[in-house]
Amino acid sequence: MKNTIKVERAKKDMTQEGLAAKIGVSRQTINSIEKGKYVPSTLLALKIAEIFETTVNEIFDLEEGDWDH
Amino acid sequence: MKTQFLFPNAFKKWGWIILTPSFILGILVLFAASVFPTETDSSIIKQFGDFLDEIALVGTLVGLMFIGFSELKEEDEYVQKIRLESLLWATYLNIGLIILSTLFVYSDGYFEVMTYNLFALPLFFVIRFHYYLSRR
Repeated sequence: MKNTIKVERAKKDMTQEGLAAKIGVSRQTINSIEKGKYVPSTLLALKIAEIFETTVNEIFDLEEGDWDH
Repeated sequence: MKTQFLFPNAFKKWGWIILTPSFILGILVLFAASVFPTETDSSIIKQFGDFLDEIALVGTLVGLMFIGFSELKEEDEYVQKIRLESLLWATYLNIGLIILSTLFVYSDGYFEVMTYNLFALPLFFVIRFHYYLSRR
């Protein structure tokens, strides 16, 4: 799954630490999500979208491999 | 997010405080039995000596439990995922080792392996959990 968190953070001039504090997770979790190592829960995805004043679909996008079972 | 079935964060520190002496005591009991009281000592010392292995095992288990199952300061859903994956991984490893030792180790040796197995699963879990936490 691709995501644009890093870009959105840059637009808002927000650090990983800052975003982490706003949605109540650790900085490492934000880092892992950005790198695609961890797929966040729906709840967390919605919170991230809310912080960036956009929708989940604008931030997260499916990749080809995500359809493999 | 509210987590269930975990100890408060402060228990983690106590886990290390309990585990360290208990684990060292356990190693001494297993490998250096001669440093402890024998039958020739007075009865009170001997009774205390009889309890050392129990203290070592209970302390090791409680310590590992507190370390592995206390909330982290930065507890979140990713940490919970790592914790549960580590528990699954440790269980697989433990089952594999039990099967191997059952098939290939007998009598006294088997008894020895089972002694280690009393605390192997939580030990594998704690090691794997912290390794993956550090790699986040």
